[in-house]
Amino acid sequence: MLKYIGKRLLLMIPVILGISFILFTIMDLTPGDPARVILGDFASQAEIDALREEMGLNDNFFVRYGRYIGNAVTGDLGNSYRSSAPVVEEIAARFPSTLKIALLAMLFAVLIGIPVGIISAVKQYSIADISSTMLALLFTSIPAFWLGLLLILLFSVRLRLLPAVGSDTWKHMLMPSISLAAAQMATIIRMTRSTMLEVIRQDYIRTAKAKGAAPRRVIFHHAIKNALLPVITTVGLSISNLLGGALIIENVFGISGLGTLMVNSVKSKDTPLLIGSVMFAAVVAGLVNLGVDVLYTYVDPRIKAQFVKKKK
Amino acid sequence: MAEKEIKAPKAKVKKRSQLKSIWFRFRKNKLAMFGLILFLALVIMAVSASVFLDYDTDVIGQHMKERLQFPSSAHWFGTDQYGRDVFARIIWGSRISLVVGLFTVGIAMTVGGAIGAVSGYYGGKADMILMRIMDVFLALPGTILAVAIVGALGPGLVNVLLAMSICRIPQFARIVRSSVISLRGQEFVEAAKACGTSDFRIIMRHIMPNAIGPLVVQATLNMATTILGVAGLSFIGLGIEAPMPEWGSMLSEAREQMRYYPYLMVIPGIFIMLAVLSLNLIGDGLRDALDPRMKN
Amino acid sequence: MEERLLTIKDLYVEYITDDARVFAVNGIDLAINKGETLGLVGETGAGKTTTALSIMRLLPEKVGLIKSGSIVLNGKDVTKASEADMRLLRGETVSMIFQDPMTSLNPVLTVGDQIAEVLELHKRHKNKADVEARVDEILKMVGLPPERKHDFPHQFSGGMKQRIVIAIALACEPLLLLADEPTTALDVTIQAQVLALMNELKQNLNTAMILITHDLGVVAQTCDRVAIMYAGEVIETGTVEQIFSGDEHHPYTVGLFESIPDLKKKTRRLHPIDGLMPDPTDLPTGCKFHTRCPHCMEICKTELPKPIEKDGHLIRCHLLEGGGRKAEGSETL
Repeated sequence: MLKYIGKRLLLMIPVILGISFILFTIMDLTPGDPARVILGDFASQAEIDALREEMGLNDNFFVRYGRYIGNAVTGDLGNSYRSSAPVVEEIAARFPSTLKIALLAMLFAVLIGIPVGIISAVKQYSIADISSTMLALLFTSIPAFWLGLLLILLFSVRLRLLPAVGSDTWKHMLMPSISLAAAQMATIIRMTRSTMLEVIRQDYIRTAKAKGAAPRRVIFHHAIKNALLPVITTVGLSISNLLGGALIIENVFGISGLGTLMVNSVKSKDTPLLIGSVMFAAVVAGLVNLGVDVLYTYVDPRIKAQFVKKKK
Repeated sequence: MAEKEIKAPKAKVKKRSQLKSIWFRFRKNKLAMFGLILFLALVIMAVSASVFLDYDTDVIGQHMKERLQFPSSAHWFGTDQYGRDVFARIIWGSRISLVVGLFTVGIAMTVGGAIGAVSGYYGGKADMILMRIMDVFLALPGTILAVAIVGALGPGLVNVLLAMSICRIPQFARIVRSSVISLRGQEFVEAAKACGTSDFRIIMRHIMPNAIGPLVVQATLNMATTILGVAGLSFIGLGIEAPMPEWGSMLSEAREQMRYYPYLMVIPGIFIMLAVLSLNLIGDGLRDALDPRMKN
Repeated sequence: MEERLLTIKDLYVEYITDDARVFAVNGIDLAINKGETLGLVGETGAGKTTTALSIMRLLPEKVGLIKSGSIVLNGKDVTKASEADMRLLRGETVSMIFQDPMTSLNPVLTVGDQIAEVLELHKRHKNKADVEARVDEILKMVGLPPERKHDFPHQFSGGMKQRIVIAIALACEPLLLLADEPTTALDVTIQAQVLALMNELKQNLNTAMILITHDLGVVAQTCDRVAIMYAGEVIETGTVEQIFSGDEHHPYTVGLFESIPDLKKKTRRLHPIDGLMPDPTDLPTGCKFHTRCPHCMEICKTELPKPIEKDGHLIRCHLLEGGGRKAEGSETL
């Protein structure tokens, strides 16, 4: 197992390198002189030239890229052009807020999505099923940022129950996570429902019934574990989607997280900050996917067995 | 089991052409039909927009005297802070969303499809290299990739379209690749090869028609996510820029007025939702119609 | 010994789906004594599996419906029993082996757990250790090493899986075992092994069995009596001897036997039955077989033939009506 995790981590390296290379190339090709960005519009040409020399901007592209990667390996992602603070520090300061709303959103999506999906499948065509299916359809189509604004309108403007902006207390976290969770919850409901429906038609479910097992036992002991296998994958993908969604939701609720950091770095042409934060997001997404795959092997004996065999 | 056993002899109705029977199954799906009607309505809206609207005066022209009027018979959806008729802007906005959606999916499907076909058909090193590159793109959440690309290219209609297309290429490449791999070894392909058919012709004439089903479903659902994505990008100011009446940027503009003029924010959202919903419904319906066994 | 275990009387089963009503079982009568083996033979779609599922009351929910008739199992009418009562019967009094062993076992549970479950459900043993001991015993009984109970289904071959399925079915020593084509999905060499095992166990436990199959060879080897089904009806029943060597048969039975190759006779070609099973949503009137019957008469098209009995050999055919039983195939009638 450890060997597998190690291998997967190694496989992530070329992907991260690829991302950094692509980003580095695009940013290099876009107009705009970093020295000018740092020094502002009123700096003299001499000052700019001096800074360019100092930053090594006159070097060959590959030299600069090599240097960047070399530093990145030691944990140095460069300094932000705007704040001149190290990129790593900026990310470290911002990431916790993003992580908090993403995890809370995940929690909402899973804790509501899976049970609703199961009930929906078990009571197929009931009113509960039809309404949850409709709701899921609606939620997959609602833009998260619009849902966020609607929530603000209702709970902050009209009812004055929750604060509209900021990220200080759990009350601040509530609306962002809900708007972020809605689409993922809908996906999880749909996925759980359809896999559950497929599972309860399987022969082994009939075998369980033929043993004299009660419906409750058939569902909980025999069906759910099988149905959850594909759902785990969906949940894994959701986390990656949540990170992306946070980008926009943070903007709605004025949360200074990784998303706002990225958007601001794009708007202000802060190349090191952009590359750094995007790479960081890729690493997080990669680790999450790895985690999901590892979890999968623990739930599904068929996959687990493959590793045992390989080890021999 | 018994149920399936008994249904088997009913094959005699299978005379209808495949396309007709897909349409027949699709038509029976009420939700899918609702989606289709909704989508057609949006298309009609988009196409007819230029007939009775003049872009410069009705859509982006500012009329400060009439600013921030609530919905009325003169302005069905009210007016915004520049006195522009929201109804006219919404109608024009459908053009932008549909065009961006269609072009993005078109580009992504062509490029992704080509990559997937080459990768799947030839296998080996080409496959390895192409798929590793796709992995790099897939490693990032779609929105983040799009933001990074827009960051490099700068905002604007064409750049957003490009960024979105690039984000979607890997998904199409994967779908086409797996279809091609599953069909590559089949006898009809071997037979075509034996006749000396060129690789390009084999892929286009013999393999692609068999892979088209999942591709169309993916394209429909992808168009929905693209419309959502573009609206999101515009909303945070990295997409289509004002004064173009993109629904997402309309929403973004409406934020300042939200407290006292909520309709400005509610209406564009509803339209984004309807467009996305219609495509999702069609996509789901197509998937069920193409593969009746999957239907719940 | 001649103790009645199961009596099915005038059973009608329908499947109701969105677009059609499927008449799966149309008034069958069947009986089986304790310890006896009944072969249920017929083409795909003849209603064999439906009959078995009706006995278990495991027809697909909301789709499969027992329309009328009675199924008396060990003195209890299962068509009228409550769901709770049925759960007590399933696994304990009657159990079922399904066609495909590859999909009959839950992939995420160990086979030991799956065997133990049926014991626990029917409270056969007081404590966990007793259950485990019994699981070991059953595994040995079906010819598998007990230490493999910790393995998952995917670690077994098809034949071994079917042994496990048999172990689950026989764990509580049921009075009746319904085996739905238990060997169809297996390799030919394994088929014989599994059949032999089932026969042996059934003999030891004195379990009655309904063996659903379309393999007449298997029937000859294992069954005491045979019922032949066509389009949801039992068209002929009798002892194995009566069916295999009797001189009077239903034309469909004749057709069935003619469609299997016989090495002893030198024939140039097989004689398959012409045509297809009638559409079960739209069954013909009269005798259901008349559309394919080489001896079809006017009366066959309108009137359902009554069963005619001789020494327990029942045949449903107009050819045998009237002046006593005439030889099958006689053109004089």
